[in-house]
Amino acid sequence: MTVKKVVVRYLPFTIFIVALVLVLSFVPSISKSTSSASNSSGTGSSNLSLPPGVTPQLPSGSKGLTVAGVKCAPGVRQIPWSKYAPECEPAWHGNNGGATAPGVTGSTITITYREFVSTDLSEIYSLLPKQIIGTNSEAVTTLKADIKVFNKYFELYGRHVVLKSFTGKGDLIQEMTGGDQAQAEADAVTAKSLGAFADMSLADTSEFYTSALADQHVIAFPLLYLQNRAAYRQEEPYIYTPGPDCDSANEAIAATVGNAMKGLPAVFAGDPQLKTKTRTFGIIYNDNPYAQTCESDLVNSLKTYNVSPAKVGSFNFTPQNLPEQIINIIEQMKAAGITTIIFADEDPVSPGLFMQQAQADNYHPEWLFLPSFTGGNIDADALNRHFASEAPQEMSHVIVPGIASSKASSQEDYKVFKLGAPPKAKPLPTYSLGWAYAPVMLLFSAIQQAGPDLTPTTFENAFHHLTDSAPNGMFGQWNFGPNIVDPAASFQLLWWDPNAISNQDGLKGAMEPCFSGKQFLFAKARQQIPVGSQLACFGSNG
Amino acid sequence: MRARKELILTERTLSYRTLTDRTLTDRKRLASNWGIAAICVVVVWVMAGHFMPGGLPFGISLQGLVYGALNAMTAMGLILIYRSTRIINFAQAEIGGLCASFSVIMVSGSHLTYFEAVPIGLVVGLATGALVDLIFMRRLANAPRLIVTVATIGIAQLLGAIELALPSLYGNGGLSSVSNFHFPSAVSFHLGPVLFKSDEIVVMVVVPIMLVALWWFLGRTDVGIAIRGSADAKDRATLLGIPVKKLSMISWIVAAGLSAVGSILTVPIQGANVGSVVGPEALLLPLAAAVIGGMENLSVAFAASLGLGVFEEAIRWSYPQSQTAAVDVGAFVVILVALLVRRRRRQRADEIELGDVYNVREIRPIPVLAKELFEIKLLRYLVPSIVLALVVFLPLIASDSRILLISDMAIYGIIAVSLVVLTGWAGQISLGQFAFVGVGGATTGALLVHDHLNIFLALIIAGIVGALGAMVIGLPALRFPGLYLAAATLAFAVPVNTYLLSSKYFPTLNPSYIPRPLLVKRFDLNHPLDFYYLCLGVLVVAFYLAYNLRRSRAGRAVVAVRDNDKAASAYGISPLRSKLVAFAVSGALAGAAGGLYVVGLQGIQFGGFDPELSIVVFTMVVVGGLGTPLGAVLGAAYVYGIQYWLHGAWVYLASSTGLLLVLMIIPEGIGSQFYKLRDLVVRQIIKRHDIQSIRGKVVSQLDSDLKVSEATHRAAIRLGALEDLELSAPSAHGVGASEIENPLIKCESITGFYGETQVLFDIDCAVAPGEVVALLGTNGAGKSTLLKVMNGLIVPKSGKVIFAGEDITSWTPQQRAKVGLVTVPGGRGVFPSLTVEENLRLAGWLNRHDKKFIEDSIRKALDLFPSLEKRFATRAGLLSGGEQQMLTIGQAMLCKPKLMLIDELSMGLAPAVVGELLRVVRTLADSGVTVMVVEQSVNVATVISKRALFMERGRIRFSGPTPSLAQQPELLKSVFLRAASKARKARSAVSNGAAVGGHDAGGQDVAGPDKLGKGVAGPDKLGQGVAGPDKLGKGVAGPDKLGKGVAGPDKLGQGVAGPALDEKFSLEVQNVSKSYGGVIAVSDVSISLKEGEILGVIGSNGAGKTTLFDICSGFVVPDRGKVFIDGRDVTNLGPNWRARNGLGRVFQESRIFPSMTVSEALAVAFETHVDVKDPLASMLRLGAVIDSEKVIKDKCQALLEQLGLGRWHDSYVAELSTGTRRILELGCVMAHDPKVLLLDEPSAGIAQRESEALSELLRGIADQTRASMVIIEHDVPLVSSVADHLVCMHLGEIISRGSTAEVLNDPLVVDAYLGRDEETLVSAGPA
Repeated sequence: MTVKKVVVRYLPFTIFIVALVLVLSFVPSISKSTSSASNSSGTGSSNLSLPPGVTPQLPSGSKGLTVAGVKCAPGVRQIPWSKYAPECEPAWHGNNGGATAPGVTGSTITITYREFVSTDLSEIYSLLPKQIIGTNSEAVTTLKADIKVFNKYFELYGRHVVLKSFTGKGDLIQEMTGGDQAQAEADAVTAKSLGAFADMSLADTSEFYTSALADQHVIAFPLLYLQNRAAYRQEEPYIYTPGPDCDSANEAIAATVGNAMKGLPAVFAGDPQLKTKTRTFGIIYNDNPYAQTCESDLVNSLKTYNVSPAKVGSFNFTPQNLPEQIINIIEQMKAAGITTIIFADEDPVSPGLFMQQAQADNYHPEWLFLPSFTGGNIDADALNRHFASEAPQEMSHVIVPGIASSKASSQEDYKVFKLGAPPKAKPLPTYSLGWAYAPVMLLFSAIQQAGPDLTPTTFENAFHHLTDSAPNGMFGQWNFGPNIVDPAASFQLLWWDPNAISNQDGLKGAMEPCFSGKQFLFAKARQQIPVGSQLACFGSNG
Repeated sequence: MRARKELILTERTLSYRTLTDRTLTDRKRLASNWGIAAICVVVVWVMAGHFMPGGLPFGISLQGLVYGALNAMTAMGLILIYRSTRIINFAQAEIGGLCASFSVIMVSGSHLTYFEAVPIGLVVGLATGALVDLIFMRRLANAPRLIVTVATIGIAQLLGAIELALPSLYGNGGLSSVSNFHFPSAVSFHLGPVLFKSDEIVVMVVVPIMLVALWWFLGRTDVGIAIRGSADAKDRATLLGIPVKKLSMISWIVAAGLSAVGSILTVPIQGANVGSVVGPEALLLPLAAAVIGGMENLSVAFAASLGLGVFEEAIRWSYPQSQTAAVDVGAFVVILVALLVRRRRRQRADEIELGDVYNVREIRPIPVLAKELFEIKLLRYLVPSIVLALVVFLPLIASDSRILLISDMAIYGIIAVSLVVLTGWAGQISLGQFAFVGVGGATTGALLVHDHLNIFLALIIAGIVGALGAMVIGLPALRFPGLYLAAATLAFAVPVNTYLLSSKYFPTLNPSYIPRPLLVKRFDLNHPLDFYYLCLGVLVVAFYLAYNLRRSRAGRAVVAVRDNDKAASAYGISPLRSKLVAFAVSGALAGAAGGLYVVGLQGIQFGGFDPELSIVVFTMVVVGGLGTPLGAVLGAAYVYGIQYWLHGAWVYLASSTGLLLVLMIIPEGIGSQFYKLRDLVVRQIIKRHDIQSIRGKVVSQLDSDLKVSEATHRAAIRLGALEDLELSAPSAHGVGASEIENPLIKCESITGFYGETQVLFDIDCAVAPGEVVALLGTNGAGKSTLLKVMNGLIVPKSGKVIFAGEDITSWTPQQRAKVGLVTVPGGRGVFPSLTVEENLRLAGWLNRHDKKFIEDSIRKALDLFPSLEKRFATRAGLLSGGEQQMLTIGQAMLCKPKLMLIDELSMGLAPAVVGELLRVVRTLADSGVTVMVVEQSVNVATVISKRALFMERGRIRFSGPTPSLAQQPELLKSVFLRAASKARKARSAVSNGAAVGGHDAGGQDVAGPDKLGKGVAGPDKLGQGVAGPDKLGKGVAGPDKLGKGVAGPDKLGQGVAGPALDEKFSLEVQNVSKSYGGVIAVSDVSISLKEGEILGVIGSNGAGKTTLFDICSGFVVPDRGKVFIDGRDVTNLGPNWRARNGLGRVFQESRIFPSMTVSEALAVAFETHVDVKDPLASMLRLGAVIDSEKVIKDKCQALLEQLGLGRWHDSYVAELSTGTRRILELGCVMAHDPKVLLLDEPSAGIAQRESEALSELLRGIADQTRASMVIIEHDVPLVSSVADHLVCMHLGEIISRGSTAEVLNDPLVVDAYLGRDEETLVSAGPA
């Protein structure tokens, strides 16, 4: 084709393309300010003014009776017997401003629950029996009971919280491994269309779903994945979690390793040759972006204690080749002579798989799991008993920062459920009961604190200004403050005692605290954990 | 002189290596290859240990071997199914997964022991294999392989649904522990860091045993050979009494067993995935190994699997922090390199495997005449407008979540359209389409977030990146048949997901948050409706682009290449480029869809582009219909809807059953139903109009300067009219059946149908024991159909078939074969991938327990056909046509035939071969075998049979003594007599030097046997009897033309000079030689042609004629020698380049482009005349393209009208009769307008009288185009009447050249080709 022909034939098209390029280049679809602003919305300012006509809440520390009739006084909490309830708020009367935000009306605040759905549910149940993780109906029953009680006890400024549940389109397990992102998006839109101010899907909250909820301006309380604070802050003012986040977790692990494990023999390992060997550390983490960041932070934290892992292995949580990865990583750890494996992941399944493989390989190192609200799933006796049945020789070498359980029936989550649920209603298993209770408590506390003008921004501001919890609660210490979206502040070091009787269910096998049950603060773990001597765990006095 | 030539012939015969020699050489080569491979392995191992960060401890290597061995079980299953059915079984891994799940459940749930649970798992596996065959494969037995391949995806999903539901069905409580599932032995050993326990040791023992057993089974047992043979030619196997269905089931059972063993052995080592789907990733490494093994070679695949296993573990060992990504990337690189280094090998035997494997019938276009009708025009605009209105306005009343749903459907619709382009039109399978979606998504995301680019521009760039990605993958993979692209794309999809689209490795490319843009500061894409309209807009654009592509030259080229890449090349189309264009367009559409996808998700998160999604989108297009974008979009809506509305096992269940039901009930997809409705309406509208007047209007509107000559026009019309004559001939009832007492076989009132078309009408016929009966008739008369009714391949609608007094109407072909009713099919009746030995052995299936009979019969067959003995270990597909026919008859001899039904004995065979075969048939008949031979050649019938049946239009119109046939002028006057006399004249020319050919030649007497051996002219008669110039229309080639371009005259002993240096030739072939593995196909051959000259090439089958054509047209690269076109050296140019330089080619079987319409096929032939070929311009439908297409369209229409093919304008080529296809093909030649035309057996498959018209047509074309022609032809009268001079080839060399008479009189030619048998000479008519 000659040049002339090309020009003649393609001239209109060329002109069109040039025009398109010019117009499109100079008229961008996204302004730079828009894209950057999207990451900095919701500053959590404490000086928010009320819309005209709205009756303000009473000043902090006001006296009077709460809606449930509790007499307010200094130190009294909204629910007097709860260690986690916020400061007492006397009954309020006036104009609440009506529909102050999506999901909020003059009389209701809607929250949604996405029912747990997974193609791989059967597999999950094969790894974590249903009697440990519960069912959707148990979760809804539990949530309804908690909401019923809290609607009665908390000052909601003329509104009450309404729960709407729906069957999600996304598959939780798929979402956790990267799939079903479009479905997660659709579920978030569904939640939004149901009028959600917040979503309380508990364990059925993947990162994608949470992120999609935030995109829809719906508040979420994720439980099952670990992010660092910076990541949480990117989604302000929509993401909160009972925590701890991975910064806190890393602080606990690094201090434990740096102060009481490094340079000392691995006395808690199972293999005789490892017991006498000075500890060398290996890290295993899940190869998703969040865990990668956490792992990177952990390595940096360990560096401040002059500890470097001798071997690091990562895995992808994909059923197809997970076993092969696990085998390889355990072989790597074993070959590298790792005495202490730091397991830096939060999912409730993989710890058991890794321990099984180690046991099959006759490799019995010390195991140090990451703390979180689910505590690496090690702080719940029923679950740990399950792991112990699969890999008893490994569980007896496990150390995990967490909170030792107390008697289930005396815990406040159980108490609230009993108060709100019908007589014969079945709650979530004891292990999971707290999953529902903690976020609901946080939600109601922040709503009360936010006052009548309830918006995501006032909610966030209120969250940051909640009162720290009383000590020795079932979740340990909760502290609040600016930029804090995960209030978990304290931990104990725990070890698995196969012979101890569990407080939770009276069966054999329980997590026992080290250092006689002493709690440490994440923020001060470096100072609080004894330096230079072995951990006072496994019956040792340190 | 003569003695010297005979000596040369003998020497050339000996130049074929003997079996022993070749076997020794092959063994040496094999040993050498394995030795080199072993050394390479050691070197790689040592280097890996030295250079890899973690080294490569022996323990890790051994562990890799164990894992590789486990994968090899799946790979072997894949190969077995491929070898038996020629499909990739995507359910292979899933079958194993199901078995493993059952075994584990038995241990963990029912507390059985290992030894109790394993057999149960195996039984489940074997039963699954049997059920898959029984329920699905048998129903899809006649479906295209693409459909069957896709069905296995549905089966995988179905099995996945069962796996998912299994724990629930069984009770979840019982599945809490799988740790007890181990081989009960405490034996273990440490090797480096790895502890090898009894489970690994079991693998080390069991897998090699399984491999050897499988190798032995397939290569050494009768069943194994039969499985392979059945895969080659199912009907043929059936006719030999082989229980094809049972064998298919055995294949599936064995393959399932392999997978079951592999998966069960895997469980104690790698754990079980009870309650989960195995997924496509599990197939990656086994498939890679199988691909490296060419889907054929078990040993290579096994070695590859071991290598990949070690490779995988080595990477895991050295890169523990990114092992998954590293392994995935590594596997992809290995597959890509394997493809790059793989040499394209294309042999005659391989071609047989391709055929219409991936052809997909597209939606039939609205007839061009109907488009002129007002109602049709109205419908064409109204229906899309209504649909568009619905999709635009309905969302206004939908909820946000529903709008989001249909937005996603629209995005998936774009992806589906991309697959229609690739799979539906180009016939290529991509199992990694979602990877291109991911690539486009990442590009869009990065551009939006980092560069704040306009979204439209970002989408365009995403499309470009998608196209580039596709081209990178396509370049190595598309050089091979479709399966390799499937493997390459799957291998690509996995690392894209785990590596390229991971923020860990490419954070910039994968922004986790992508804000939805505000379009032109007004349309906020955060609003679901706005985003939906954007998606809809892009879908419409994608639709428009794809539609434009398809109806342009670029689209035609893509489909033409899919249909017949050789023919497409011969018209100047580059197959690779066309496939690349399709893949690039497909990648571009997928990339743009990816841009929308990530904007919809507002970010790119880890693992969001799982390879399984590629399978999902592939399922979508199959469900919707591969042939049409509209159907694909409907499929996308269906499958995505399922995913949206259903959960868990139900998703897989609905998806799989939907897929399988669609495949079994409406394989064209659900979209086709819409078009069926449309066609119904169109037919009704057409009925109400005078279509002829519209036709006249259309023709008058044509704007074409293309004119064919009057002679050509007349010849074409005559050829077409002859076809019509066949269709309109008066019917007559069969006679004679009742006159035969105690017939061996008898047909009573048989009626038969092909689909809805009746092809047999009330047939009565019978054959007496010991009789030789010829069944004659023109094309489409129903001869072969009647034979199929007799042998059981077709069940008659009514009537009876009685054999030896027993009603066998309902008997299967196998049952009939058992009682001695044996068929010798026409054409290729052999199993191409089996050796001659295996073919014969397989033919003795029914008598396989009688070893002595088998040995004796094989010996007898080899004695009858000595050439087969020399090629005993050669794959039958590599034999010449004649040798294949010999082998087919040899096979029949192993079936203890009582009645032998021979279909088209002489089709496409050299006279000498026909003579040889006739002798054998007569020998068989003399031994008491009853013979019924179907023939189109009355000459052959005359010499072999005493009684003949004549069929026309599905009715028997004559039954009686063969000589009496000549006394049926109403039947034969215009059909056989003239041809027979012409054949006689040909023989006469040979013996007496008389003129050859000529329509006015008369003569009635057929040469009798008494003339055997006479009339072979000696050298002294050379040059006599050459037809005068008035008959040929031009100067007759005189002796001065002999030897043009012959470089080796000394070999012929003729001392003919080579071409003068100043002579200009249209085609010049200089001293070309070509060998295939030790066998010389063409040796030192030279020919040359001046403008307008016609050269006939004759020679026995296997003489190298077609290879010579392949060398001329560029399909085969010669080992030595050069090819010039118009003085330009084109030796190193590909076929399409040569076509563009003026070389045309017509192929032997006249298949051209079966799934294209006649008008489109013709348009393909105009390739070199198309002004605008640019696919981008086509997609955009630029003005120049519209003009260019209009010109081609008018030219096509004009040519079709002038050739009398106007009425076939919208018919598919596959629907045409052979004769009409020939006219079309020659029309294509005129469209191509080559300077040099190579015609390979133009008369093959057409009836005798049509052959006469064909010669006129050829001559007309030659006169009109002034093209030089080279014609390969066994129809001596035809080639003699057309060619200026002849060459005769034998064993790869030219043994004679000169005028037709000179060559036909050459004793060497008589010895090597024509034979000295009078009957043979007489029968040298058309096949």
